[in-house]
Amino acid sequence: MDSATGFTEIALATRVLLVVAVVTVLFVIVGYVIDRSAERPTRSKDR
Amino acid sequence: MAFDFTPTHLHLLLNHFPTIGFIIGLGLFVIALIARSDHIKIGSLVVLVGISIITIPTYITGNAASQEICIASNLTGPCPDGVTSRSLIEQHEGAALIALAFMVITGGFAWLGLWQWRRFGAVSGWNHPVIMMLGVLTLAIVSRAAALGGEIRHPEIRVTAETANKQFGRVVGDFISNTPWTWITAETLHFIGLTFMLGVLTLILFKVIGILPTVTYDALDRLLPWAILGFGLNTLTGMLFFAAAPYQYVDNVAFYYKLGFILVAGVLTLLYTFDPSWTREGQPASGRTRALAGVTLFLWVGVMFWGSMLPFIGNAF
Repeated sequence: MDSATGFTEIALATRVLLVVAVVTVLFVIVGYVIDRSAERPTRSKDR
Repeated sequence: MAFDFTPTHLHLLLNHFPTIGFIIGLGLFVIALIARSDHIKIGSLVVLVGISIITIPTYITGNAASQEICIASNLTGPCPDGVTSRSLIEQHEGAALIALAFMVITGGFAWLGLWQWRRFGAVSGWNHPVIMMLGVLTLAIVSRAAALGGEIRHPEIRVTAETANKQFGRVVGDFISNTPWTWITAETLHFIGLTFMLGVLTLILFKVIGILPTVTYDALDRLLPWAILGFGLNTLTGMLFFAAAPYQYVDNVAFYYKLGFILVAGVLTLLYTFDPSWTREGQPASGRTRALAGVTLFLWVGVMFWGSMLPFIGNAF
C-alpha cells in the first residue's frame, strides 16, 4: 500500500467513523430520554 | 386465465393505504382528543403504526412499477409509450421517499404512545402534540406524493409541470451511490440498529420461550423502545440503500423474502409485545405463546439470512 492510498483510506475511515459517532450519539440521547420516561411513577404510599 | 402477480400489482393494491389509512388514523386521533376517549386514541395509534409499516412495501414496489412502465427500457430519455412522464415518476419517487421518512417517525411516536399506555395506563402529555404536529405534516407530504403518483398514468388530471431538475429521490440515491463514504456509513449504522433491535427482541423471545427465567419482564419491557429505535434506524438506512440502487433490489428474490419476513415478523412482534399474557411474571407462557415466540424468532433470523443472501441468491451488488 503506497502512502497516497493509505492516506485516502484513513481519510475515508475517519469520515465514516465521525458520521457513525454523531448518529450513534443522537440515537443514544433519544433512547436515554425515552428510557428515563419509562420509570414507573412512585406512588405516595411507596415512599 | 393466467394471473401473474407482480410487485406492480402490489403497488397498485397498496398505494392508497398510506393516504387514506393515515387520514383515518389521524382523524380518529383528533376525535379521541376532542371526545377524551382512551379507547379511540388507542385505536388511532394502532392504525397509525400499521399504516407506517404498510408504507414500506408501498414505497419499494413503486420502483418495481416504474421499471415496468418506463425506467428499465430507457435509463435517461422519455418513457417508451410517449404518455408516461419520467419527470413525474421521479418527482413522485422523491415525494414518496420524504413521506416514508415522516411516516416512520410518526409511526415511531405512535408506537411509543401505545407502549406508554400499556406500561403506565396513559400516554405522556407531550406525545399528543408531537403526533398531531408530525401527523399533519406527514399527511400533507404523503398527499403530495399520492397526487403526483396519480398524475403519472392519468394525463387528464395532470397539473404538475415537467422539469429537467434532478428530483430528491435521485439526489439522495446518487449521493449514496457516488460518494465513497456514504454506503459504508449507512451499512455500519444499519448493523448498529440491527444489534439493538434483535438484541432486545431475542432476549424477550428467549424469556417467553422459557430460556431466561431470572430476567424480569419489567426489565425487558423497559428495553423495548431501544428495539423500536433500532428498527427505525434500520428502516431509514435500508431506504438509503434502496434509493441508491433500486433496480438491483426490485428484481432480487432474496430482497422480497427479506421484506416479507420483516413485515410478518414485525406484525407478530407488535402483537406479542402488546399482548399482556407475556408479562405475567412467575407464570410460564402457554404452549401456543411459546410456539409463536419460536416462529417470530425464526422469522427474525430469516430476515438476517435473506439480507446476507442478497448478493448470492439475488445477484445484488
